[in-house]
Amino acid sequence: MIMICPKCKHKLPADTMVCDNCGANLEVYEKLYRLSRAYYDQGLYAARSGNISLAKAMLVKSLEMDKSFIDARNLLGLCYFRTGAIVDAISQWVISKHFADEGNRAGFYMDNLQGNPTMLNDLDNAIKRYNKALSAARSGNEDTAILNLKRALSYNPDFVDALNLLALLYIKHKKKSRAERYLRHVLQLDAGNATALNYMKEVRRVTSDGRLEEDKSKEIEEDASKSIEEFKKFKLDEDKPNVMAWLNLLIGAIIGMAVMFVLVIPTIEFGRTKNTAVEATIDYSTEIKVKDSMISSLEDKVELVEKQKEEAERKLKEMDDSKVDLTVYEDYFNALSEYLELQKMVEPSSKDYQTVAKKLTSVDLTKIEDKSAVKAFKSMQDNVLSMAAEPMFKEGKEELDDGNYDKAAELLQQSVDYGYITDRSLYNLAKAYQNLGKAKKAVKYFDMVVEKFPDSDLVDYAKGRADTLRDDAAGTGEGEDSDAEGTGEESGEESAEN
Amino acid sequence: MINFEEELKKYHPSLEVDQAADKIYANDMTDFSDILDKILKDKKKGSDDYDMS
Repeated sequence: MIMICPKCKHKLPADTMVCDNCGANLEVYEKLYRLSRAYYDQGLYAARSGNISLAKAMLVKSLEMDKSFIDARNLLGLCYFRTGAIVDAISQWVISKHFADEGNRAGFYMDNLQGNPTMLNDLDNAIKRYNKALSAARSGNEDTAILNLKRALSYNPDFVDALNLLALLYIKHKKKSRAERYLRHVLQLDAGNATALNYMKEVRRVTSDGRLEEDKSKEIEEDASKSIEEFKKFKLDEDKPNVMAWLNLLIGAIIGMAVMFVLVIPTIEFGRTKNTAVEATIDYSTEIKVKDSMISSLEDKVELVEKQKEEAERKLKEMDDSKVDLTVYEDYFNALSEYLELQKMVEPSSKDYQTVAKKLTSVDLTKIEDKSAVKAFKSMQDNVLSMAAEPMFKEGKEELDDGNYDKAAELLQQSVDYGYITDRSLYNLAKAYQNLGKAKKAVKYFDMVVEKFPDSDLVDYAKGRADTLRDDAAGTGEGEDSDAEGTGEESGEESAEN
Repeated sequence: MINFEEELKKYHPSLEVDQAADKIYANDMTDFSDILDKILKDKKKGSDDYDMS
């Protein structure tokens, strides 16, 4: 079997670890390849489940690992196309074709688009209308915006941004049922669309008496119309003439009508109602049958998706190097990204170095098997730590002079750990511990000054302080919790340090 | 409660079809293998400079 070096495209025997042409370490590329496929599987699963937002996120990560992964790029283009982001879809397919011109599904998608100029024109018009609508909404012309958005959706009914914006405008105008209709459409296209889910919560917000807000406004309207009717009736009563004969005739007519209504019309109505009820029963039965078949079909789909999910999980488990721990590699590559950002800065501050240093030291290199990757990382780490160490020492010294011994000890310890080992850094660290009552640590670092820097002007002071602490510890029998502090010749020390 | 003005800021104009070329050229084609190559090159350059000095 033959494999191809991903860097120089040289042909190599299978299972080769280092390319004999360009010297690239193929183990690392293999890891990236596997990570890319793992993210792609997750993206594919999400797309099949209708969660396009999640699918896009996973596919973007897959391409960050391996930009030449055609399937991921094509699928990402499809996801963009699904939600109306046509230009994003086209750009992904064009780039995909750049990597592989022959036998690439992206060619089919592009031919489909180019072969249907009407559709392409409609999609473009939808975008133009959407942009106009957005501009109008920002200028406060919301009615114009709504009209343009409706026009946009007539060109492309699946344009998610337009649907969301229209829903937002309807929410603002308190037309929540209309907004809900558009939001439902969005969620049918993309079940995980965060904007639509957020708006849907707003639309379905229930008031304190347990009813939807729009129900309340309807009720208010109904009450208002009733009171108007009452007012009208009162006025008519006032205007009616007081004639008894006519009143008797009227009463007789009313009784006759009452007999009609009580005996005749109900019989007719009963017949009609019965027919209506029978028809309704038939309608409902038909509807139930339709829904039953839909449920059955959905159940089949769920079963199929479950099987696909199990298959995908099984495939992931079978992958070599017994589980690709995405979290470990995520930390590793996140730290790499931060390092590169630091390199791009014109004049990074000491704080920038410290932030990146913290990120780099938090990565657990023991979980990364590839030695060359670990080596490269350590080299980068050394570079950043050495830049961060001296500013940390200066900050720690200032804290020490201000009497903030806790903070001083933390900063000075970090600067020493990062490699800033001088007589002054060790001496000040020891002083900080001494002021905190940590005699053992203080003695340790005073002794280090004497041992590592025998010609330093701080040696005598270090010896003196260490001896005092030892004597105090021996005399009181206390160790770490001793309250012993430095004594005497402070002014002499200060000038020696400076 | 949704703040209309804040939500509106989240929407951006969509690129039209004739602007697709700009989008393609602006695409950042860096992936992690490129980052790794750069780090190893920088490291090698650093050690070469050290050797020369």
